[in-house]
Amino acid sequence: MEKQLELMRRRLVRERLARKEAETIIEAKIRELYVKTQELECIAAAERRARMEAETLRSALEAFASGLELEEIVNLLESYIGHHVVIDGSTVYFYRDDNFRFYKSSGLLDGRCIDTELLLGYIEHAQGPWVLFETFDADDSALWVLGTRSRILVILPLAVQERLVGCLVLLCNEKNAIDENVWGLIQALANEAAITIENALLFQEIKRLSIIDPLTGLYNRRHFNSTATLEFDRARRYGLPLSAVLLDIDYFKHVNDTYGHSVGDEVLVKVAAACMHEMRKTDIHARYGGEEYCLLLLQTASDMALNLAERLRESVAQLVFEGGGGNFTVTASFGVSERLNDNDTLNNLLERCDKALYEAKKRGRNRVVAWPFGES
Amino acid sequence: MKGLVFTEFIEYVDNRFSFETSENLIEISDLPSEGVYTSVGTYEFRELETLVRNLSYLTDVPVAEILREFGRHLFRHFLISFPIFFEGIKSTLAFLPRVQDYIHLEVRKLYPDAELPDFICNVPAQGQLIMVYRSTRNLEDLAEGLIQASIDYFGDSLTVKRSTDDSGDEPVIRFFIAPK
Repeated sequence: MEKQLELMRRRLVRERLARKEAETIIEAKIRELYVKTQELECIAAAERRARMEAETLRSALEAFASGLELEEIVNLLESYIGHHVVIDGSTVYFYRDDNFRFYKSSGLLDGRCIDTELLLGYIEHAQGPWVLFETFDADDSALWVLGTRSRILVILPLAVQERLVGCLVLLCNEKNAIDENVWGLIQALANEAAITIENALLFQEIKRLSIIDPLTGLYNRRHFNSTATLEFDRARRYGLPLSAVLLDIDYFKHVNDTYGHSVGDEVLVKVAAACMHEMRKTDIHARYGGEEYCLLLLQTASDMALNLAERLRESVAQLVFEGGGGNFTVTASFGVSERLNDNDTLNNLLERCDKALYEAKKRGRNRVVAWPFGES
Repeated sequence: MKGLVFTEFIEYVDNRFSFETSENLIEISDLPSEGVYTSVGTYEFRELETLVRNLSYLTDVPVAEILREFGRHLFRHFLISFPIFFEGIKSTLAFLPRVQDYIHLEVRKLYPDAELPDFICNVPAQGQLIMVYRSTRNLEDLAEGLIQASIDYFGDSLTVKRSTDDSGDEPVIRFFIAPK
C-alpha cells in the first residue's frame, strides 16, 4: 500500500512537471504564431496596397491615353493623386521657352504663385522631386513666397525622360499624408501624365500654329472665316449689332521697295500690334491679305466701329519706323460696315467693307469710310 | 522524437500491463528526461529504445511484440485524436498512401522540425500495395503494428509480408500487402 502511494506521488509530480513543460512549449508556439500572423497581415496589407496602386495606374493610363485636352489631363492627374493623398492645395505649371508658365491653382494654393525661377532652382538642385516636410518651422523662401505654412510641400517635376514639360506643386496639411508607397505611386502617375501632357502641349501648339499668322500673331484668314461665320450667325439669331473693319496699309509696296522687306515686315507687325491694342478681347482680328487686316467687332454698331477705326487710324499714323538712314511713318485706309438685316451674309458684309475701303483710297487714303457712303 | 510517441508509450504500458509497471520502467531506465514527457515536446530517440528494451526485460515480452502492440495502440490513438485523417477513407489500401502524402505533410506544418520516416507506396497490381519503409531507427515492427491495426479497423481481408534489404547504408524494409 505504502509502495503504491509512493508510485502515485511520483507520477503526480512527473505529470505536473510535464504540464509545466507543455505550457512553456505551447506559449512559445503561440508567440511564434502571433509574430507570424502579424507578418502575414503586413504582407496582406502590402499586397492590397500594391493591387490598388496597380489598379490606379492602369485606369490612369487608360484615362490619360484617351484625352488630348490639357485641362482634362491635369484634372485627371490631380484626382488620381487625390485618391491616395489628401491634398489641400495644388498648382500646375507648364514648361515652355526655358521657364515655367503658370497654368492653374486650387485649394490653399489658389491665387498663389511660386517664383518660377525659384521653382526651377529647386528642381535642378534636387534632380527630381523635392519634398519639404514640416514646413511650419522651415525658414524657406519658397514658402515665404507662397505665404502659407503646411506639413508637406511637394514640388513634383513632370518630365518625359530628361525633358521637363511641367511641374506640379502639392500642399498637404496631414502629417503623414505621403508615405513611401504613395510616393512611388505619385511619381509613377506624374511620369505617365507627363507624356500625355507633352503630347497635349504639342497638340495645342500645332493647333495654335494652324490658326495664327506667324509674322503678326493675328489669326489667319482661314480661322477668321470659320470664327467670323459663327459669330455672324449668332448675331443674326439674337438680333445683335455686328460690324467689320477692313484696314489696308497705304503705299505698302513703296515701303517694301524703298526700305526693304525686313522693314516692311516690321511695319506689318507694329500695325497688327496697334490693332490688337485697340480691340477688345472678344473681337476677332486677322491678317486678311498681304497688308490687309480684318476686324470683326461683336455687339458693335457702325458708329462705334467708326470711332474705333478712327482711333486706330491715328495710332497707325503715329507709329515711327527707322529706314533709309532716317525715320518715316505710314498711314492706313479703313472701310467700315455693319450687319444689315436677317438676309445679310458675312460675305456681303465684308464686300461692303471692301467697297468702303476702296472709297477711302479713292478719296486720298489715310481715312475711314463707312458704308453707305453715297455710291453713285 | 516527438513527445506524443512517449506519452502514448507510457499510456500503452499503463493499459497493457499496469500503472506499477510504468513507474518501475521509468525508475530503472534512468532517463535524461526523468520520464517527464509532454506530447508537444521533443525527446531523444534513445529514450524510447531504452524504454522498449527495459519493458521487455520487466515483462518477458519480446521487443518485436511490444513494438507491434504499440503500433496498434498508436493507430487507435490517431483514430480518436485525428479523425480528419480518416475522413472519407474506406480501406487500408487507400489509407496507407496518405500517411506520406497527406498526414506527414500536415504534421510538418505544425512541427517543422519533426523527423518523420519515409513510407513510399506503390501499386504493383490492382488490390495490392508495396510500402517501402526507410529508417535507421529499426521501427519496422511498430510500422507493421500500425498496418495491421489499419487492416483490422477497415475490416479488410489482407495479409502483410515483410522483407528486409540490408545491402545499402540504411536498411530498406518492404511491406507487401495483398489479399488473403
